[in-house]
Amino acid sequence: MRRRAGELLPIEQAILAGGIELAAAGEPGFYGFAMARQIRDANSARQLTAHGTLYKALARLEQAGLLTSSWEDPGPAEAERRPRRRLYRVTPSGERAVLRSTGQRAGTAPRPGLGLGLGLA
Amino acid sequence: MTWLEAASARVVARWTRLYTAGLPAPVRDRRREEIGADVHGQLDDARSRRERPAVTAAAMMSRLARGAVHDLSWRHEVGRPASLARWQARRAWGLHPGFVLAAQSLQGISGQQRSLTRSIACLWLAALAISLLITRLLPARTARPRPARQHHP
Repeated sequence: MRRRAGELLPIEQAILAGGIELAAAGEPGFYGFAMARQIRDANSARQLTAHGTLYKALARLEQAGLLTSSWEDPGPAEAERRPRRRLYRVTPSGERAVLRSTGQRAGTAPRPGLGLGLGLA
Repeated sequence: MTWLEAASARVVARWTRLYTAGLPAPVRDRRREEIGADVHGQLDDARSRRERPAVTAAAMMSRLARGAVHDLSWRHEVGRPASLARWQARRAWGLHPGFVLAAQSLQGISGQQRSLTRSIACLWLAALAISLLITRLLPARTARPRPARQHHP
């Protein structure tokens, strides 16, 4: 089944909204697990988003130009002895898309600064 | 990290290696590294929250199982251009004996009096060069990313 133009799936909306909230909290970029945790906490869910669901949605959003991504600098990863992370950022198009989508779902015009806590199907 | 957590992390890594096998190296390596960082982050987070290892391991396996269908469909989407290119490259190689046979038939018809061995060697080299050229060109032409199915603003 094809989606209408501009329509976001709940997982895509949650990722974009989570990315905006993390950026507002001072995180310049987020990686996969940080987003899974953000979605779980924002929705008071018990489970983390599945790997396949999350990374497929991230790839789709990046391909659509709603997210950009880059590898983090190797310095922090080496210092903390962990694998380097792929950091995602919500683009201005992504911000517009999530606000429009939130407005469509609520049946009202979107307002900047609107709480973006979103339920997942 | 307990053995249970380590075993779960290994299962996730093996599953990721399995469904990314055969993909172009940048796509394959990126997915593997992203999942590796994700698993590390989850273990780190569980440790900081003093989560029971059995719960962490179960959560990790649950994430794998619930997302497996999406993993496979993603693999199907990103792997299709590469497999098409490989198939066309194989087809080009398949044409190679055809070039040789056609060239030899033409030579036989023309009835020229040249050394048979030298002629066959020359024709074989020419056919090989053409096949190699096709093999090199086809993947580059067909491995373009497909246009996005979804339409976003």
